[in-house]
Amino acid sequence: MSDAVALPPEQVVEEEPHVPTRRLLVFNIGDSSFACDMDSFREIVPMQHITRLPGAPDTVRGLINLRGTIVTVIDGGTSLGKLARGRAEGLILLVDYFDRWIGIGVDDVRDIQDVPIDQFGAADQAEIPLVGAVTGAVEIEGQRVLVLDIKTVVQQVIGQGR
Amino acid sequence: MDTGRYAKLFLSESRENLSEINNALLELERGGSDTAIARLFRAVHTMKGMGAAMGYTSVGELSHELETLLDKLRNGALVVTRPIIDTLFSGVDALEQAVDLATGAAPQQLDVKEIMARIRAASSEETPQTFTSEFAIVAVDRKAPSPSAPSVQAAQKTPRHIRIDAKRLDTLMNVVGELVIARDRIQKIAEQLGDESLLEATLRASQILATLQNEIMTSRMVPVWQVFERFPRVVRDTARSLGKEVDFKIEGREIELDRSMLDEMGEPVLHLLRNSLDHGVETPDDRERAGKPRVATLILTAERDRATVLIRVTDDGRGIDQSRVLPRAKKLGLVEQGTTKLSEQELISIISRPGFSTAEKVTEISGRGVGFDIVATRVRALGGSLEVHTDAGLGTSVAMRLPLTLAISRALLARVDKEVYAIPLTHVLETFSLSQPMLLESKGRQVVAIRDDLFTAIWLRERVGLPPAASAASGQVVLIELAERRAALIVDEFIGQQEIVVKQFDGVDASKTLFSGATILGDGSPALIVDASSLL
Repeated sequence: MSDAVALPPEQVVEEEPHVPTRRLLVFNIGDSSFACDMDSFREIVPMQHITRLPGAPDTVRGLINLRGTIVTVIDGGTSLGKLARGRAEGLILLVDYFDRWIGIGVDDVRDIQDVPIDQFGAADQAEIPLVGAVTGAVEIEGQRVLVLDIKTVVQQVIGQGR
Repeated sequence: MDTGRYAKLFLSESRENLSEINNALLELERGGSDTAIARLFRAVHTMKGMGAAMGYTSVGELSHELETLLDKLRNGALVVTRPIIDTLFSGVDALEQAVDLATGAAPQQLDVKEIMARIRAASSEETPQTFTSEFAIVAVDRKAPSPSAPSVQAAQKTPRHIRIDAKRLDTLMNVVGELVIARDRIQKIAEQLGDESLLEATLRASQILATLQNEIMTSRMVPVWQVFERFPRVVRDTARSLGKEVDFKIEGREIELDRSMLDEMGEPVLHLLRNSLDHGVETPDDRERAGKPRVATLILTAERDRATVLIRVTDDGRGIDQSRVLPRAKKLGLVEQGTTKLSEQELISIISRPGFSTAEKVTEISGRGVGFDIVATRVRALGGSLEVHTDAGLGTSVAMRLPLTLAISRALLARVDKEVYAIPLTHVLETFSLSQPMLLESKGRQVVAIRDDLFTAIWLRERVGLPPAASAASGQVVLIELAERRAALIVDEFIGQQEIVVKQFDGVDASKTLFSGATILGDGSPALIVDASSLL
């Protein structure tokens, strides 16, 4: 172990006790930030023409054409109980849902962060109106951010779909 | 081995083998001998190998037992008898169950001890080599198989095929649909620019694209036998359980349909076959009394007629007796009391009413008159129509006329406010411009008067949750029809007719019933397809 001294400093750092991390995508809706596992997302596309879906609740924005596939887009603000519908959200996050995609409209993507799992804290389920969607909370740049299970969010809004 | 990954492949190959086994068994039952046994042996042997490779012990062991029995039939140690055929059928049914269980969501092995014991008992029976038994199907060679039998050679020369996940073809279809839209845009721009060489290049690209689209459509076409081949077995079992004798024939098995349509039409055809066996075909004794051969004939035909396919089920049974339908129809108030003869169209609309049946007995096979209305509903949902031809005492022929594909259909594009909706042409009878005098009120409802008829007025605006138009009496009327019901659908404006590619989407509650799918317009935006049945 004495030759460890000769190793470049960055490799020594790797030898330290390692806490696994989770890669989170942090996005904004109004004044709130939320985070989800990066793996849940397939793609991020800019907001585009959305065809309104009559008969659907406020939590559903409508349909977009994604390279020939019709994708249903959920209204992020309304679904997460933060803001009223009808604002022009800037981005659509595409989520793998069963064997297809569902879009979620958000204002902005703030960051992608690797957060050590020991920094995940508990959060109150009642903070958003979707049962079981909150899996915890993390602190990012001094702000408390709710960590969501995005599949649960989608399921609560559109059920099994099809 | 990662069996999960191979389970699906195993399942689809097993299905093919099982249907081959069933068909070979039916051939054997009809008196086919050596070739049928050879086919059976081969298919069972394949099942054994696949089952063992996947670790599905029930499939492997059961196949092995069947193989032993078939081997004895093949080398003449045993002769084909009715009990042996029955044992083989039971064995194959068990094999099918074992496959389903082993590949199900919660894989398990079927308990095959009992059936294996039965098969073993059958194969160890020392059948004397006599051909005197009443049921014995003589196993002497009619055509002695020579090493260079032409059938073997022909089988080896079949065209080469590859397996593709059907989803890939769907994706290809989608991408081509996108290309068509992109081409339309390029064409518009080229026309605006007026550049000769650009226009020419665009035209050339269009032609290639049309070929590509056609090729992909063609590659999605599947011959009807893929659905039909399970029917001989079903017909045999149904006929036996009803105590009827029937000679079942299939014609036009090579006719092709789009996969999307083929998946949907199996069920209605099965209903028609069961209906024929249950209500059309008489018992052998009844047939004899009526001076007909004891064995009835049931024919399933597929036939291409321009852009449609006709699937016809014909029997030589008792036919639909007008004298029995008429009183029922009058009693239910479906026809006027004075009517003496129903037209074919009237007959269809009467027998396809939910719950209408003249069968005196409720049977397990086709239930209480629910067969025909299910067929009628399904066929209409698929954009097709039904034709019935019947002669009392001589038989009935029911034909389903279906479009070649579900994926592409023609629709009327209509605008309300700033939104565009597609209305499938299958349900559109006529279109009119709306004017004030046409709008009337009748029995507290708003109606539209067209010629001498009144039709319930439906505002598409209202159905899609938009505020009423400034002037109620402006716009266009679409006369829609579904299952004899008609209504006047009012929209702001027609945009035109278009071939649309029907796509599914994830809807929520009410939106799922209001629309049957979505499509992509020329400008690339999605448009919803109005489901006529939800309007009426």
